[in-house]
Amino acid sequence: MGRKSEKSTEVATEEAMEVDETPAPATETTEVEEEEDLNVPAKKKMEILDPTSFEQDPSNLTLIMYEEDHTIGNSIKHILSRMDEVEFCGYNVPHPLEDKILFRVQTKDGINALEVLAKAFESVEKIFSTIRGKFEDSYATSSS
Amino acid sequence: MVKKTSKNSNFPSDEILMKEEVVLNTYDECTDYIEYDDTKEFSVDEYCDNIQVDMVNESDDKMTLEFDITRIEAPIANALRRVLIAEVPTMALEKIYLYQNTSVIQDEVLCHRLGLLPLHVDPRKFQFPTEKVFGINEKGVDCEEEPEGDPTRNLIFKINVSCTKNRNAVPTATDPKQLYHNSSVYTRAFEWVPIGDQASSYKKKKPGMVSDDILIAKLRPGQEIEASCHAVKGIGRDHAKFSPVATASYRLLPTIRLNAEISGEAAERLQSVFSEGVIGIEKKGAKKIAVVKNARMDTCSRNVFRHEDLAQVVQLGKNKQHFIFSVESTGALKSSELVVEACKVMESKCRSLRKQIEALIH
Repeated sequence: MGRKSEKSTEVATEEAMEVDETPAPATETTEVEEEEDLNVPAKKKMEILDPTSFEQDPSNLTLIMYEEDHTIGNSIKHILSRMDEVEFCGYNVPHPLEDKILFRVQTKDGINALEVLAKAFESVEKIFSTIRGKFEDSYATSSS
Repeated sequence: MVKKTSKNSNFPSDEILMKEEVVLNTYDECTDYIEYDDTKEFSVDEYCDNIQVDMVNESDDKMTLEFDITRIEAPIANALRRVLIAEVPTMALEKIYLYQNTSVIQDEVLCHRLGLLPLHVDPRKFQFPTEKVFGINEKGVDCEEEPEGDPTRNLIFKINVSCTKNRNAVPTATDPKQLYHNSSVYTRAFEWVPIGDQASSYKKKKPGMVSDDILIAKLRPGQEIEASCHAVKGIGRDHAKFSPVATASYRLLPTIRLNAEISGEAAERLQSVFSEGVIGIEKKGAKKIAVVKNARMDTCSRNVFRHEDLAQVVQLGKNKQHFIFSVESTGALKSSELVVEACKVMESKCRSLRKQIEALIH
């Protein structure tokens, strides 16, 4: 009866709650987050592979993202590959049964790879909000 | 008659070239972008300004939608498609509390079947369950008693049908539908049970199944099914029953170039090798000339290359930056709403990941 896999859907849960139309008060969201953290003991969503070497050379980054797949991996890679600061970038799904991806970024000398990666996420967010805006406009004009 | 009037024009770089056996001019080896100026810095704002979205066709019930997005590349289009299939949330029956099942269909098969039924409920009004696997105690045993349900997270449907003999049936009748009452159980047998304040908040539109006539099981006299079904909010990544779309797909816009004037018998032959509506025939003086009427209708069968004379003058391609999306909703939300939701999901994913990365920097 309604069996669920062991696989955690915690990340998606939290994110999709943000999608919810009714914006919850700020205090309430923090409460929910705390509550969810209790459900998943010591489960990280993101981790730097070999953090000591990253500290020595912040232009060389391999980031593990849990509960992510090609959806995020390929779209971020796509935007990163056009950015000037980036020397090399790529992502990898190490095993189909492990719900994680490895993201590799090599930036030019003296540039922090994490900052560049954050910028790429901002870009993708912007692209999708643009698509949403243009879609809504186009839909409104076509149905009126 | 095929008359050669012009040389093969230079093929544009933003198109895939389809030959008889190969597909050429596909993506660049290192990026998916079409040709771009390497000396110019990449600007997201410029990229966003270039994106264009056009509606093409929407069905009357608003459940099927076709639209175009141009000036994007496959990774972006594919992210939208993947999010539509696996990450836009819907409601589905998750816990079935089975009180009686004497039908021939086994408990677990029946429960799985019920789980797959599409519900007509707006998932945006609900919250995700608090636990990943709820209703199971420390020993891994399902709960002993049916829980009350949370009005902000659950919907409860009850079903209670038993099959009986129809005493008024004609003696010669052989059809089970005439011989018995409730010989077939359909989705209309479900009754929604409001919990908490749900009765007042769903006054206008009662939650229910998308379709009333989905066959669930068949019964014979003496058999019955009694169950209470609890729906929760979930995403397709966890279980396909939560997927809000029947199909969500994209394809590239086909292009057809006629590098010569094709007339007479050849024009009609050209029209017949393509799908209906692709090639039109126009009158030019006394001659009938083939023209490309609507390349969008082409299935890209490349059937034209079987005709040697036509193959020499017809060039088939696909526009690399023109994505034709087709979205079919299962019924909970309109297709147009699903696309908007998918974009929002992608935005919030990026936002939360960016925040986590920024937390790693500091």
